[in-house]
Amino acid sequence: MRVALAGNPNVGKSTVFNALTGMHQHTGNWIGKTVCNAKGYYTKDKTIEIYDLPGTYSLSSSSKEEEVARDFICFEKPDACIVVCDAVCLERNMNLLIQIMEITQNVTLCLNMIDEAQKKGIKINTKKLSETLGIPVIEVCAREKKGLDEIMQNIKTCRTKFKINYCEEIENAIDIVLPLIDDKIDINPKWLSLKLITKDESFKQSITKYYPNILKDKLLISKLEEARKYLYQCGILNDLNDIIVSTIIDKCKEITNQVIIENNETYNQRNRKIDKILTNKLTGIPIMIIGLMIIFWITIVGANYPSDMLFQFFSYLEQYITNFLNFIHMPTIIISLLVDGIYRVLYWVVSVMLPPMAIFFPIFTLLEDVGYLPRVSFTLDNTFRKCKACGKQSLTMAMGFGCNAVGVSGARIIDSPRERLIAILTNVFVPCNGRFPTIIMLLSMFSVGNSSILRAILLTIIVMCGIIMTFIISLILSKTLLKGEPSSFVLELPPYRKPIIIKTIIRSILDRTLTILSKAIKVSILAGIVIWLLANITIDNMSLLNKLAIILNDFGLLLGLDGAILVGFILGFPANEIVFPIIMMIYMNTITLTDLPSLENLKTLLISNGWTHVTAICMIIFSLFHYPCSTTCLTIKEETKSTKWAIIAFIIPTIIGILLCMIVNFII
Amino acid sequence: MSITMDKLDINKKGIVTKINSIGIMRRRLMDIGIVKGTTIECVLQSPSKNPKAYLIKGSIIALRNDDAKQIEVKPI
Repeated sequence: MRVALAGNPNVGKSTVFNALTGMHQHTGNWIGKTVCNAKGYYTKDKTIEIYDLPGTYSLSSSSKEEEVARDFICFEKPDACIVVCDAVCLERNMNLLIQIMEITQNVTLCLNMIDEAQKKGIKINTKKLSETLGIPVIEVCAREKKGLDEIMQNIKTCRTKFKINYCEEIENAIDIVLPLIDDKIDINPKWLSLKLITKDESFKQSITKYYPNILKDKLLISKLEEARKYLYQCGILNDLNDIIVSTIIDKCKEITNQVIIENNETYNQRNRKIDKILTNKLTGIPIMIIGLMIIFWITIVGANYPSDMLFQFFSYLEQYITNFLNFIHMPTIIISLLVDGIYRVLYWVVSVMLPPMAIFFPIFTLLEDVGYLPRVSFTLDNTFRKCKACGKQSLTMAMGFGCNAVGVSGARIIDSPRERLIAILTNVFVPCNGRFPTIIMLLSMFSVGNSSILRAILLTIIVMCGIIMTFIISLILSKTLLKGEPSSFVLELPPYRKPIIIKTIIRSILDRTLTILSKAIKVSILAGIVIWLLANITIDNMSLLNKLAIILNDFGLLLGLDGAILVGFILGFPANEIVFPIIMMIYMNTITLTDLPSLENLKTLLISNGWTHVTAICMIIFSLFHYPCSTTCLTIKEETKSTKWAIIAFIIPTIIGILLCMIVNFII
Repeated sequence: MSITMDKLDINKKGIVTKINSIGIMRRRLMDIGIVKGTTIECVLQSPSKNPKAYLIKGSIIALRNDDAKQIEVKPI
């Protein structure tokens, strides 16, 4: 049995999906938003497949998500459909519900957030609602897993007779077409007739895909024309879509008025006050910046200990691995490749990368769950509008802090293709978690004083530079390569919700750990082998790695860097995390990635290799502005379906980085 | 007397009298419940007063002024 799960955005649809399937799809819109349908199996009956459709307000074709959801319900023929509605704003949610009930008869209404509604003084007469709609209505509190089994018990039986009555003219027009609708097509014929009369291009394409012959029927086409002509004579053909939508919206209002017994203020005073503070002229932006700073501070301080522990653990293990490999008589050269090459790169990447990410991601997920991120979009939208970009770009930027590849695919939330491309091309200007550790390390060594608060402040300033660059480049792109005016957008500010703190943190850390480990393994095998080869193949008593550094040295010095640093960035293409270790390898002339010595020793080592404050500043600039890592480049190619944009995304930040480094190097 | 929605003062309510948006945006606005007769309230301004957020059928929706300009409301 196949069940579709539909609903508006921000109604807790993913929570319902996760609770039913036992899966851990990320809730929240900012990370890996569902534009395709996720599939899972009901935990208590594995024969039931559940499809999580994208969250939409409607099934019209005003966005990709709506098309995907509509096509699934229309043509993929799910046996049942569960519509998740937010009990707090039932009236608005009802629009989607009624549109779905027009297409298919087997619908169950899952009235989520019932506890929140009760708290707000909203009482819903579910029995009456169920009678009016002719479908089961189940009160659910998905976060506490209340009422979920009841939904599943009800999905099998329902056959609703509910229909919308349009005005006389439309009903007459439908009657002209209705007899010609092939009864082999298992879609409500009345709805299908009307849909065909409205000349919806995207629907036409979809139906031709599933039923290639239907629109070749000459008689049907002539009847459709006749119906349109009739509506034209009635003077309503041009307003047809409006009338259809209004009829449904009015029906929603009528039904809700009947079933909602009590309704106090929905946007309560407390939320209103918080919103006023968070989006105020004087307080909004400072709160945002301080918030960012606090997050960085927690990340910097919190990541230290686990990083050290992981390092010690891995290096402790190394000796045993070597012993074991010796024990099974593996050739020395292979042992060296496996241990000095792959294993050490792996544990560098894991120990440096994992702790900051494991701290950073949960905090952002919590902010999303609370409902703060849309407010950031709201506050920053004006600047994005002036850059002729979309306000939702601030959300993809936020994702970029975690991982630029995620930020790039997250740009799907932007509907306009032009603005989406801008968001994709500029995402690399926010430093991802792979670059944070390098920047933090440099700040720790070369900034005055030893306070972690100062470091957090400096880091915030660096990040702000990246954000300002995002604005500048967005504007330049809008005036050159991607000319155009900002398009319209609708952004919902969902009510603040208490996050499920512990569960989110555990979930997020586990998810991150798995993703990072798998990424780290892939990266390390490749990078480990390359680095090991470069370090072990010697010409004139000098390893290829060092040779390369010498060749690039002049160019490096021009940028305020040196050859070793450039080699680090080049070999760090697969993962920014290994840039710094490679640099140290070259300095120390060892044949593998070295252990993390104390910051003091590290600083001495760097200074003895000619580092100054300028080198550190230039290295930070270049970390912030250089080509995206290989994963991100591949994601850009996938998302834009063009190599050209991936190359442009590679070139733009690199040129900026080179220019800025040169300028800084000459000025200071 | 109708005014355009972006002119609606903060904390003031209005009833939608006409929607002038076209195409996809028109459909989108209607889908979130902005049709003739809907009561809306301007509840929030961003620092630059653009975009503004409106209470529409129980949810808060942010719209840029250029889009809100296409909607006519009668203040109440």
